[in-house]
Amino acid sequence: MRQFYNQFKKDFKQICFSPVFFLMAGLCCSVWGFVFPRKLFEFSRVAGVNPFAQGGMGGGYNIYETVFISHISLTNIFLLFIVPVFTMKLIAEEKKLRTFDLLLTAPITSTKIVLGKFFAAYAVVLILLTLSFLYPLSTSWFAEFNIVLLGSAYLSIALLTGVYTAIGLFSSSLTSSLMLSFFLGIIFNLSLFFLALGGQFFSNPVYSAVADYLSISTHLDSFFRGNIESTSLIFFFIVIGFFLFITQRVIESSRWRVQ
Amino acid sequence: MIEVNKITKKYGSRSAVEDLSFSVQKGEVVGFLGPNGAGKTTTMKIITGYMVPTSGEVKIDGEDILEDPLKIKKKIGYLPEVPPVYSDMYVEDYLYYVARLKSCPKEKVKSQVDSVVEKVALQEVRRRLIHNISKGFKQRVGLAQALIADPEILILDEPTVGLDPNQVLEIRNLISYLRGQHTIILSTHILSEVQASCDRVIIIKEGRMVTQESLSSLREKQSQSRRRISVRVRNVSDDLIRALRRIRGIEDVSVSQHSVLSLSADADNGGNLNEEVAKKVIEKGAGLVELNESFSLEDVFLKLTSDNEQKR
Repeated sequence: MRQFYNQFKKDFKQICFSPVFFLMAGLCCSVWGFVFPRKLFEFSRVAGVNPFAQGGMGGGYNIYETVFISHISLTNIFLLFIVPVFTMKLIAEEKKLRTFDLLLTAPITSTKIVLGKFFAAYAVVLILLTLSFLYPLSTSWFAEFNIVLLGSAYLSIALLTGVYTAIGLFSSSLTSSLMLSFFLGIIFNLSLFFLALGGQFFSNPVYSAVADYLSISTHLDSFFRGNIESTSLIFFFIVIGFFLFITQRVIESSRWRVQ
Repeated sequence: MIEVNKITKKYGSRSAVEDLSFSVQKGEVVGFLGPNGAGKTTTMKIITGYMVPTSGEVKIDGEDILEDPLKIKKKIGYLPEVPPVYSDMYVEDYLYYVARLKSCPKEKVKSQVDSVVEKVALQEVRRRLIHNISKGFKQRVGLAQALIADPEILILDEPTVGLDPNQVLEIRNLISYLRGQHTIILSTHILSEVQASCDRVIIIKEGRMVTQESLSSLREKQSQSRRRISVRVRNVSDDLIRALRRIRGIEDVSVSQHSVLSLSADADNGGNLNEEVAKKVIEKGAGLVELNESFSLEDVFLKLTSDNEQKR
């Protein structure tokens, strides 16, 4: 546990106290800060015309669906590209600078290395997500909305960014080039969404059910509706666990692989 | 303490190390010598448990390193060719990180860090960013990293490569200071390094062992085959060189530097060769400044590695 925490602390500091993190956080906040009020004003203009819609669930036109969901989608798109920026260094740079030698000759298991690095990057991602959460939360001063619904949506994004982080860590373990690790991360992240599209082409109900379960958007939709399903939770945990597991295998394999 | 038993490491079809066996006793300082690409780093990585050999086994204190790698790794401090330091960390933070990484007991972390900082003389850079310190200091931080948690075995991969002569001397002094406290394996392709700090030398070439001998027996071997005498005189003359050539047993005389003559001689020619040379120099009035018989590993090394080539 101490070793895990030690690894976590080191990697967290390295990501969080780097200019890259501040740059990315600044970039995100300024874009959100530009887009979010505009959406809000537009909503209030329309809602002023039709005041009965505000806060209602079934009305079709409420602050959650018009303003928050689009803000969350924007957050998701940003993080899809930004998470690989944080994760690309985790293992690739260790390999490049040969500090990987230290890790592999130290009395620490590769599982602890992987978990330490994963949670370090994930903690940084969660900070960014918290910043994004402040925008809709700030509207609670003057608008009424269902906070549980918003929480459920953010929970789904938190889980999804966990997947991004695990994928980013995995792609970082594959190479010693930061560039390659970054692009691999983005490609894997995008392919998560494209994977689901395959479901439409199956006529066999079993296949399409499997494809449906593998589809990220199916799970996101239910969270967005405030429906926290255990199958969805399990889905995210399995995907994260899977990528962490293969990362650990890749690290172990460097003991016998030709480098 | 360390037993390497017939290890082979293959990279595809090319083998980096082949059928290498040797053992190292507790407290010994062993030099691992070979030209670049001889398989020194690979062997060291296998001993540290970083890499798994294709075949063969390595035992430390009688235990196979693959049986309980975590336990074995605690006994080893490893300094790779490139010091494994994070340039965006402070020296002190880095050492604390490594101490905890090597699962140093909680209450000992601080005292361990303090003691290695003192051992390798890092006090003045302690609170500086690793990125900003000189290469010599980085190397020392690397060494500090290997020393932390007080391992029984130290494995140093080319510890003085790329340093300036002063820094090389410092590192060598440090190694001789550590002698006796740790069992040390040191790899290098610089022969004087082995001469300066090792008890025993293992010479490998193309992944195979050429020889393993103590430094004194190598020295003996050297003196049996050939003697090299260098004479510094005040004024060199052709006459003197001719006179020296005429001494029985002297095979060659050359002016190696300004006013330094190198003589190579047949070893069979008794022990009074030095005397005779000195006599001749004085006779010719050349002004004898210095005369010594040098032993150079360089010759042994070249001889052994080229002999090996001829055998094949």
